[in-house]
Amino acid sequence: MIRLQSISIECFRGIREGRIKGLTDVNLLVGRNNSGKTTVVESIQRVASQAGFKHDILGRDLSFWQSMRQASSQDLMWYRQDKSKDVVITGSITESTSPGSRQDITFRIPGNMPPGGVVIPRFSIDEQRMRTFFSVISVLRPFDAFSPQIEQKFWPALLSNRRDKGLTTALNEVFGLNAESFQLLPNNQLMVLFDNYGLPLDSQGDGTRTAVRTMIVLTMMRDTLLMLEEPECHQHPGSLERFSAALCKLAKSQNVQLIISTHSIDCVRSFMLAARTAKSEAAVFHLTLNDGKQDARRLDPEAVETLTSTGIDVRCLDLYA
Amino acid sequence: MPETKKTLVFYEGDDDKVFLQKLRDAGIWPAEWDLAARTKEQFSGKDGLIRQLLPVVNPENGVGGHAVVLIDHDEMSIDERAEWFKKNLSDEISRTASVVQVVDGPTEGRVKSYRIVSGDRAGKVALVVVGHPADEELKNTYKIDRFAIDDWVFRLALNQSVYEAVSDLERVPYAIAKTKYLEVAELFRKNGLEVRKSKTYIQILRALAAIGPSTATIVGRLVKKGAEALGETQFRQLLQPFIDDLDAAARVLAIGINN
Repeated sequence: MIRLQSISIECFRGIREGRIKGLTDVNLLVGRNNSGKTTVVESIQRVASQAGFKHDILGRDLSFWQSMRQASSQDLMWYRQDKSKDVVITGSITESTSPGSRQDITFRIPGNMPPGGVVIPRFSIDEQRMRTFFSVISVLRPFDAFSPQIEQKFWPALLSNRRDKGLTTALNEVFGLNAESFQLLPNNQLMVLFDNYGLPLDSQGDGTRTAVRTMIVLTMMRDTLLMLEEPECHQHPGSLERFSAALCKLAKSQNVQLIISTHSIDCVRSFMLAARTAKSEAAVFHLTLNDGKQDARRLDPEAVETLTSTGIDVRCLDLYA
Repeated sequence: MPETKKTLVFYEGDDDKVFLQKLRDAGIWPAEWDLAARTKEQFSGKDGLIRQLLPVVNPENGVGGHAVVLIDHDEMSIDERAEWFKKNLSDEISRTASVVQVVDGPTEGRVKSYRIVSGDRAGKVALVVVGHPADEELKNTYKIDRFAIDDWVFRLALNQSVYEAVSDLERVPYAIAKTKYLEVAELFRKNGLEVRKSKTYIQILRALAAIGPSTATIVGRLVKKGAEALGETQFRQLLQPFIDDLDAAARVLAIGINN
């Protein structure tokens, strides 16, 4: 199974220098605002663009990042807009079935040059598998999960092998519902069908809608990586616990690596627990950014548990070190 | 203005926690020191303390932060206890992250410190071995030879002004209490029961005065009333050299603060 193991960043957006290593099955990025969490997420997709990525699962290409920041100028990609240095982002992937295997993939934008990149020609990992891993690396942000385009895009594929059944089961588990199935009407309205009545998905609460659409997206992914920004949005802590359990279980069965950025301690706790239940490995990465240098402190679940019981909030490690 | 980094203070037992909380309330230690929440069911004893401390100071798979550790002398000297601490911390680290090393840091008086180093990151621990083996009265009169943080609590109880400031002790006059400590301890010994620790005398006091609440409660009251009755200068004097050790711990942790 292929996993992104580390990402190093030079002179990209707010990060002059930084490296995150030890990424595993389920990864939580925490840290203050402006610690570079979103830049890490974008960096991963930039690296993927050098190994097969063209569009994410929602059909968005890398221009998404420009529009998301409402910045047409590419100068903002360089740290402090200093184009005298190259932007260099390197991702390392490993193949768990092949001990010692490692493939570095570098995205580079030379100063004053249009974006480009290179793949370091040292293929210790099967190239096709590597390209499969990178080809649909996706990011889901909180507002994405309100888009009805998700069910419109994926419904035929979901039905073709009845993955809608698993979706119904997960929804019932997360929200304690008793839905029998989903159905997409000709007017593209997704209905949740109960025993003797049906309701449009969009008549449900925000938590239910975002959970269903996130699960639809994950159901369509396999052997790749999904990044979720603030999945706790709209979720009650109890629902979040079950939602994270459903996500981790599905990610495990679909062999999808998860990277989650969050400001919520409930989210950290829920995903740590969910990963353990799903028998996946997990880690928390606390990010700080000082004068452009990003520092990532990695904590395994045992350390997170011990620190929490000692009274330390793992989102605020910068208060202690 | 940059935020002051917090230091976590680790201790052994519930009574120690109350003693330290009341010292903090009396303004005895730096504002940036926080008491660790000790989960004794999961991390019991001195070994448990080290396991709970590890992710706080470990720069790999941890915070790489600063901690003050208060561990009782028991029957050990400061050097023996420091050696024990360093060995156990190193053993625990080697079990989890072999690239991390425990190296000696600055020492001041009775306080030793250690750096837990990995590459350019380091956590720091100041070790304060607590107890009062230099107190001749505790050793000779009360036959104490296992020294612990309770020595300071008992030292407060032996001070007449402090004793008489605690309303729970009103029914047993100070002079009688002093006599009864020795009588009860002698009776214990005649019956083959050990009396080697200050904690036993605190428990005798609790029984004499028929104090319902826990030992921790009487510990808290002795410290709180002691600070009020004696005033800061006298209170600090009574708790020397413990207070000096806390000040020294703050200083050794501040050396090379960015390292």
